[in-house]
Amino acid sequence: MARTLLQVRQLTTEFRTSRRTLTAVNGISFEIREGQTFALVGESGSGKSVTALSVIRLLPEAARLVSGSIHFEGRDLLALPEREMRDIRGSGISMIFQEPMTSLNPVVKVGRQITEVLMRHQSMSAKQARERALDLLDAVRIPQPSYTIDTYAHELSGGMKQRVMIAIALACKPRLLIADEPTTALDVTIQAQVLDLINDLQEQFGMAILFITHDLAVVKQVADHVAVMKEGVIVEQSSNEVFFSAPQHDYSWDLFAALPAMEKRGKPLLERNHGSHWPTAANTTQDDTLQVRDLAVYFPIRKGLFKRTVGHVKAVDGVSLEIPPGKTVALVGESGSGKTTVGKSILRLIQPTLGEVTYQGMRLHEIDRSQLLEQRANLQIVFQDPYSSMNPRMLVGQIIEEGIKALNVIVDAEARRLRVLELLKQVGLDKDAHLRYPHEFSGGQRQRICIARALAVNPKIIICDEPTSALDVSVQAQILDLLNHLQARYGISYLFITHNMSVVAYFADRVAVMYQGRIVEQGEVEQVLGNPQHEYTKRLLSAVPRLVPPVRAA
Amino acid sequence: MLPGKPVFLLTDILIFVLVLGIVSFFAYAMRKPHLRQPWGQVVRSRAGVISMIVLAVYVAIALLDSLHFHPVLENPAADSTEVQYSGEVISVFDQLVSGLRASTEKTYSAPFSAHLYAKETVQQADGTRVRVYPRLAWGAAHLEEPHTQKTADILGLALTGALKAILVWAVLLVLWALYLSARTARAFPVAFRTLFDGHSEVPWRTVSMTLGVVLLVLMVGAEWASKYHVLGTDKVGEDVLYQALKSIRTGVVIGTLTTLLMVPFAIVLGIMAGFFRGWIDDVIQYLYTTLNSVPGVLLIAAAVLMLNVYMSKHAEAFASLTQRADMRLLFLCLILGLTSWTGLCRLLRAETLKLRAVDFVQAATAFGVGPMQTIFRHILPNVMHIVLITLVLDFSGLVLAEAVLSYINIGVDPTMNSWGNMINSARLEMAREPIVWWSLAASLFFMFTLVLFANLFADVVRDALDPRVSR
Amino acid sequence: MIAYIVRRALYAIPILIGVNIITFLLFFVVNTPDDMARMFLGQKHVTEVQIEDWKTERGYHNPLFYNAGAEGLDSFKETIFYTKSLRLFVFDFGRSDSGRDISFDISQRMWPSLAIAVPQLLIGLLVAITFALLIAFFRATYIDYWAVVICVALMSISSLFYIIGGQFVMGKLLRVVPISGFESGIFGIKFLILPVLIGVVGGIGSSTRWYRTIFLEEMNKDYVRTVRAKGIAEQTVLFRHVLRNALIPILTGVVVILPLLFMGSLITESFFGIPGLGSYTIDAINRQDFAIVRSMVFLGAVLYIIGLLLTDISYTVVDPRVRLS
Repeated sequence: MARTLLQVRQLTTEFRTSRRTLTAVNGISFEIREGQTFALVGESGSGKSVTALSVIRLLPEAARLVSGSIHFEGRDLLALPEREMRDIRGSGISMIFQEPMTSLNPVVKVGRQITEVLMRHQSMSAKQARERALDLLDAVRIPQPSYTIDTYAHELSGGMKQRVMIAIALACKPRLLIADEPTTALDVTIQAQVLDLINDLQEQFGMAILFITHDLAVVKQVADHVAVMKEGVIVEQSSNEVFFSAPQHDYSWDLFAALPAMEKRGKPLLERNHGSHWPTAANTTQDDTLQVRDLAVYFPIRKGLFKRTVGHVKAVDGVSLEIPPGKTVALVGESGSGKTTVGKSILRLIQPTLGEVTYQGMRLHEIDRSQLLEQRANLQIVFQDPYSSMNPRMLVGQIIEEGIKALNVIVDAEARRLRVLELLKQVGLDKDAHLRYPHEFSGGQRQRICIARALAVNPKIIICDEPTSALDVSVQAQILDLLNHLQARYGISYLFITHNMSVVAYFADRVAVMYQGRIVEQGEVEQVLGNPQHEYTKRLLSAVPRLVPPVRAA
Repeated sequence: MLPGKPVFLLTDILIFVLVLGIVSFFAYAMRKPHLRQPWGQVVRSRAGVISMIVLAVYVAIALLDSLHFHPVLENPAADSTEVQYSGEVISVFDQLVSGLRASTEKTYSAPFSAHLYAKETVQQADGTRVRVYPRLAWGAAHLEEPHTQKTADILGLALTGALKAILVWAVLLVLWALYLSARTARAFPVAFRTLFDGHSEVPWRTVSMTLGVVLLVLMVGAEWASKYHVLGTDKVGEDVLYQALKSIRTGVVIGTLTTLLMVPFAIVLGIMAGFFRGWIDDVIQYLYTTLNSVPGVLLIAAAVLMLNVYMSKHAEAFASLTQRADMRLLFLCLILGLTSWTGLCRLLRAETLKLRAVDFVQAATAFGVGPMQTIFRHILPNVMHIVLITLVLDFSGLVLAEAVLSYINIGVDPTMNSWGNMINSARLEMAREPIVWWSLAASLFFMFTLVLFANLFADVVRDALDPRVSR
Repeated sequence: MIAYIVRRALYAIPILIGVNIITFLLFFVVNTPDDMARMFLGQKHVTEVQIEDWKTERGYHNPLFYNAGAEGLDSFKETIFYTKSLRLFVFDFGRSDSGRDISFDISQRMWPSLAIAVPQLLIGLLVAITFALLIAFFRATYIDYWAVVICVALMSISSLFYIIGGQFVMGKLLRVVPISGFESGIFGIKFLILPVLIGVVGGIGSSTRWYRTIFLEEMNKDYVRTVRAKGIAEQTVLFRHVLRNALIPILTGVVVILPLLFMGSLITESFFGIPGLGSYTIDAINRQDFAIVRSMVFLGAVLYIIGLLLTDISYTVVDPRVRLS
């Protein structure tokens, strides 16, 4: 068996503000062996990033290591003076971060940022370091290293930046690489490439990896050993095989249960939420289907002396789709594919350049203000970010009421108040929530309020713009259950915009795959996911890490 | 209520409107948790409470000095039975410190001095003439032998003042503790002890100590001022302390009214530009770029020169010198506001541009909420913190600007008491031997104190209100 | 790039027209030339003849916009608007109300202004950045806390105090430098020391505090953590990475005022008796010479617009992320 490389014992880290102390990491212990990939899994706020920063001793100023020990290659890191710790950083232990966009210095050339670490630890000359940096860029599979080495970070795509980050981290052949959610900010196809790259480089360099992530599917793909964190404590440590076949701890089971998957279609994710069956579907006699034809949104590019329009950015370029009543249509694509623009231009929040949207026999982009107001009640939207989608200066009650008032759904003030209370109950919140402010609620609760706000005007169609992608998987499960429940009860249709394939597989009836402003493939979910026709769909699906959640014996 | 016929100067009215506005804002904010929370943070910071107490003293003087009236004539013409009023306009503050106001000397005298600054030829009882420093008419007039008695007398007065201060302080603290114990249902001694608690949420010990120091300064100062010219007298023998105190109102008026006058423009134009964009944005941007491109001092200079011409042409339009000076003060506020609204307008435009793309504004649009309602419900409440921060941040800069402008003769009316005018006239006397330093020192000290605590207060307020500052 | 600069220069035209209209309204419409003449001549009993003479001497006798008495184009040309306002566009400032050639005066007086303003700016910048870097290095310690308190105290002191106090201590008590005066050439330096020093000290509080904020903001960014994770020492982090990013807002903030340095400082120049454009303006204000004030307003506006343009260009120079289009 390989030797122990990193040994963490009873580590406790606290955040101190003037008024209170928050224990982010509470007495955790683990070991990483040489060449091993150790995954630390948990939801946001579980303390996994703080653990990583404690190991490399780069905690923010408000944080304090209270107790415990960290031994790396037999040396006690917490006892080292800062000078010696600096010798270890970048050479013995390296780290890559979640946000490649902001993690590189914007005004220093990429090459300089790589050579800096080589010159620091391996006393290379500038010339030697540059040669080595070119090799490294080649090793992280950056095309044309001799060109890229003299560019600035903003000239590179997100995936390229993360490769540069990896090159920096691996420059001095560290024994341990800490990867803090290295692929979370990347599209799934890029994620697959980066994970592949890390895997290959690990074999090549023989280093150990402390891999921090919230994504169980990624863990399954990369990890040798898994530790699950919850509220600052490691609740379970197992080998990959054990964890993904028979996890030990209840919390691990909960995480698996919350994962959406094709196999769980038609059943609620969290049993405790709504019992085991959906309520009987309301009659959806309404046979209106929202029709989108050849929708296009172009943004002009202006150049030259008089700012003439010299071309267009075709954000959406001829999209046609249908949203049948009571059904969920998923719009899938990677960032920049134009899916959000489609959603907003259906609602006339963005004026489309070409094409038409028809609903109940009306062309939504041609009708006058009063007719539009009528239609606004039929079409509603739920946004991605639960923090920016509510006015922080308004009470939750006022927020939910706003649409009812603006569209004159209920004129009587008392009736309106009762309706707000009813809506809060429907989305599973307390009655007294209406007298509180949004900042008093968690992300998941906020998203419930947003759903209540949309529901308030009795819409027929809700456009859900990535409503769960900012949420933890257990909260996502609650929201998906809620949406399913509401659909079954009121026959609402959803246009569900997402990049998450397993949510599509679990949640949608139909799916449209978007790529560079166009829909490349659409059809029934089983058909598209099971037997993709288009090249891009195939590529997308093969990039998604596969995970079949273990099933707990009853 | 006033001992005479009230006079309402325009700046008086505006400053009380402002006070009313601030009071009602706080009454409103106290009921809204998200508005109350940042102010709670201000009250919890040490720098916050200290500067609030000091600023309160300044503002109180400024407000008392903003209640103007024509005093009753003391010896009216014999043939009249009606009450007659003097043509002069004084304020409640003048009435309170009437001793200082009336006690003029012939010319300069140093602080605490018993003698004039300049030698004079005096005819003695035996008829001979000698060149001596004559005794002051009022300062230290109660002493027989100033050079032997003065030190003891000054110390004695300080002691009396200190005792009075301690007495008032103790009474205030006891009353406050009684209130606290009644409100929080704690025993009186416990409540009293919290006033000296250094670790409580609101820094009560700091509050008590600051209050004590402020009272001490006020009481000792008052005691001294009753017998001496504490800060000396100026060229025409007017008490410098009185001038410095009277200048407080000028500074406070310029610091607050300027922003008050420009804020409505900045809000309306800034939000309109950011919200409607298109040609409205172009026009408003053009407007503020143009105004901004004229150097501020020159615009003020040009405007004040024109005002001079206008006033000399329409001299008959002003009932009294006081009113004329007041008009000029208001005009100065307006023109200073004109040169400073562009900054706030630009900030508000940028913030509105950001907000209109934020999801909750989009959600309102999806409900068909009209533009005006969106602005009032979603934009305005979310940019108000910028307005408040600007209000406090600009204050100290404006107080300092007044001094500089008065120095170039484009500030307030030369007849008006202001620190700038004091410095301006004192500057010319710097060449004298021994040097006449007290006017200069007094104005600079009073101005420094106000500006320093305003700056500290502004820092605390910004930290509390600005969402970008991490908490 | 060229297209951008040309477009920006074209955009300056409507702004300058706006400035021109503002000054014209202020100087000729709110008050008529008659009012000015009365004001200038001072006495209560001025005769109409005296006023007319005063106006004719200075070219204020024409009508404002349209001269009905003239022929053809001249009916527009022989107006105050044409002679006094439109001419500014070709930098023809004309003569001052006391009869001197304004353009000539400006060309003479800008050099002393620059001799004060440029060293003041450069030294001030250097000192403030150094202090701010030091404070940032000791962030969240007592050094930081007290440095900020001192900065706030320094910026609460009136600039008049710095000048009067500086003149008193350095010139009168210590007698190390002359209190005021000016001389061109190398021996003139002794006259520059005091105003430059006082200018630097007077500005140090606010700029140090501002730069500190910029540095601290920069130090909280993700890339700094990356650099630290490489094992780079804190000084190198500050100098190689943080400073370079922080200089972008600092330098571009300075560029906008560069052209305005020509205008000199009103207060400093008048206190130290420096024959620059600042004291020129002050004298004009005190003598109520409207022609000079008008010219300086226009000149200031032009320089400000140049400053804005230079700011945009400087962004492309110092920030690789910015491309003009």
